[in-house]
Amino acid sequence: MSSAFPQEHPSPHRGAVKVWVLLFALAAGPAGWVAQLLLGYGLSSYACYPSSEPRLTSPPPGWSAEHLILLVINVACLALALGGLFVALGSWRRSRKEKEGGALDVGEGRTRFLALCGVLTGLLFSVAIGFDTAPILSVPACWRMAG
Amino acid sequence: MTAWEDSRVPETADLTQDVRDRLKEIWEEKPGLLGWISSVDHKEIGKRYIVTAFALLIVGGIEALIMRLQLAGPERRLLSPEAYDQLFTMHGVTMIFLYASPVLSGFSNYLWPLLLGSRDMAFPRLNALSYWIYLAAAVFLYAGFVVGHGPDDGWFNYVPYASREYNPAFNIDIYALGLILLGISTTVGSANFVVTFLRTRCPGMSINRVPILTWGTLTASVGNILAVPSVSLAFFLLWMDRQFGTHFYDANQGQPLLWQHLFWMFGHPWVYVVVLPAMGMVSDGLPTFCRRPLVGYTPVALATVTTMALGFGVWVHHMFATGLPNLALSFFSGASIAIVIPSAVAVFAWTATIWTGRPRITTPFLFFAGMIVLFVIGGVSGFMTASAPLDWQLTDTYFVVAHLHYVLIGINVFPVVGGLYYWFPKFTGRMLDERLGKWNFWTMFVGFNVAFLPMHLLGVMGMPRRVYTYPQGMGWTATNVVVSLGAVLFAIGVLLLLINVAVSLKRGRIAGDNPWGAPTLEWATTSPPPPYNFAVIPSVASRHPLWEDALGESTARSRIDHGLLLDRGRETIATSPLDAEPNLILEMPADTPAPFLLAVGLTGIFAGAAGHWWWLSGAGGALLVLALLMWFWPRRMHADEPEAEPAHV
Repeated sequence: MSSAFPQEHPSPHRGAVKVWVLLFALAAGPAGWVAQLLLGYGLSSYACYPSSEPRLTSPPPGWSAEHLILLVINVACLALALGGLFVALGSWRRSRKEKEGGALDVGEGRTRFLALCGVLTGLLFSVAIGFDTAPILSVPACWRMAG
Repeated sequence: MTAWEDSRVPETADLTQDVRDRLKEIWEEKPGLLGWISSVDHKEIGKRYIVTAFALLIVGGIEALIMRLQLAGPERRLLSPEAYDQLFTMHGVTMIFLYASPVLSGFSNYLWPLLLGSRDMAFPRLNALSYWIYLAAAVFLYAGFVVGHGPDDGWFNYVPYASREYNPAFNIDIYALGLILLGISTTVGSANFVVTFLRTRCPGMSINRVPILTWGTLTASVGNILAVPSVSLAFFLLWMDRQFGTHFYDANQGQPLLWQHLFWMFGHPWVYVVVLPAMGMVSDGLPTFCRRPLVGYTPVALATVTTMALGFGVWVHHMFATGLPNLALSFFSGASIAIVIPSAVAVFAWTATIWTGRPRITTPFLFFAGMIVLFVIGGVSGFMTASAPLDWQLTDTYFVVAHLHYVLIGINVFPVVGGLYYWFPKFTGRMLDERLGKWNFWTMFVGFNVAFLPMHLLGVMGMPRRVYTYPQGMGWTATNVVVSLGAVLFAIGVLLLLINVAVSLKRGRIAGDNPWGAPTLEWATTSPPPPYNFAVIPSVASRHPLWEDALGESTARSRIDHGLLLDRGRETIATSPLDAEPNLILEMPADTPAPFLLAVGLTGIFAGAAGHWWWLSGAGGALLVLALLMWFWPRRMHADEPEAEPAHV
């Protein structure tokens, strides 16, 4: 039987990092980003409806309590994404010697592959949350309130 | 150590002629029309998808040429406004729904089991059903057009123009029901790809060893499963508004903007559905011609998945000009800008692969490399329109038309044609002509850029999109003439492709198993492959099973000529989702006309609903039930097969 299969398991270090840890590392960034996007969009739209008389009336220019809530949400979501990134970094270190070969080209094992995916996912979605945080600090909430 | 789940332990064997003969008898399609209709072979279904999608590409292209004749000069009357509306709507519907995604399904259907070292897709009958419903939906959507009542409100079909008040004939009903029908095809096909990826990879093919094309199609399939319900619901609610007087999109009692939300929640992920598998083709094809592995496999695989994930959070950038609040728009602007990051990762990886490789300038290489150039142009214009203030200036102008064609033709048509040159030898056993191929590439590449680059300028000059003509004296005439000439040149390029295919099918050079010296499993079997794909199931030890000796990555070696036998009927191996450890023998279904009959029944239901011919819907429903009975009727086990028992290795 064994001669029909490759001599080496594709993930020799699968015991070193639990699957649920990798799953958290992969999912934390996207989960944080989705949460801030939907909450941010929902709250900021709700505040400006109806357009003829927005619920959010006469806020200080460029800033309001709504903006503070949105900022707190985004910081919490960024913390989640960064948490995933650090867990992924830990998994990457633990699977450093899983297979011969560089991480970018060839050779890494499956555990290390998922750990690297977690690192890159955490980085990407942290940056994406950052992109969505910047306008909270600079963009007025509703069309007509700016003028 | 492998635990077999309620299954016998399969024998292993060397690849011999005797094994081949036995498997051919088991897997071969029956002759005649019934055999053709009943086939569930993934290669047959893949070829049907590709041929049908290319036929529709030509139809959509002819529609575009007629529009370009109309727009070549001001105030031309070749088409009436009504005819133009139908033509430009059907052009969009055809290219986006009936060509761009199905052609990729065709390539993936044909190639996936070969790439993964399997004998078929996980659900062969579902695969056949997906194709037949796709064909039925295409006929359905064109049925209205040929009698002068085709969809006429643009492929985006905005309300209130699409409401019964402004569009009282059945043009929009055909579109609504046709898209719901097509959505069923897309959904079942996508479910099949997901399960095939998770369960039918050959032993040793852990998820870090699969070709990037499979990442692309897997990601697109998951995207489809999540996004298609949105558009199906959108069209169903519209049909209810039009036929039964509900008020989902009514400006007084409903919400017209709901249409745009539901449509673009689907529409933007769909953009990635029609480009990610094509990007996968480039990621897998370029290394063959650069004679080195893809630079950055892991970042490219991840970029594929994260592009789709981010793609679900950008739909409002199609609605920047609808009056939504400032801050709400900015979240989607941020997400649309963030999506540049994974796209750039792929571009840099391809460029580095070419830069650090030893490129052979073949026709497929030219198409793949050309795609990178067009992707960058289309990506940059997309980045520009991700900024809400700039989008307010450019929205509804020809700038957006230029952008979307750079994306859809640049990242879909060019890789697909490159893919056809690359895999045609595997499909047919013959090579496409290289000399004609290079003429084909340069004609298409130059024609495309002559047609679409000046459209950016037209947009900046203020020419609105979605107009059937324009007045004299606007300063747009000369540029429009250039655009139309470019379109004709591009069409000549496509014609050269068709000539090449027709000639090479008969007289092309015999290809052999691996004419390009490529690294992946599809090139380990004959060209064209036998009905069973692999006489013994291969086992792999790396990402490049056919390059292991040349690369010397490690001491482990893949096995192509020795593996699991599985010759007691139509069988293949199931493996674990992450590490592809074999754990189950899958008994694959025989050929059957049930998927065809089910598709006919389903089409009857929809046709009856479109014309209020409820008797036809009833007959279609009855046929559907009969087809399902045929589909699920219990099968007798093979006479020579011992009773299944759990076993352990």
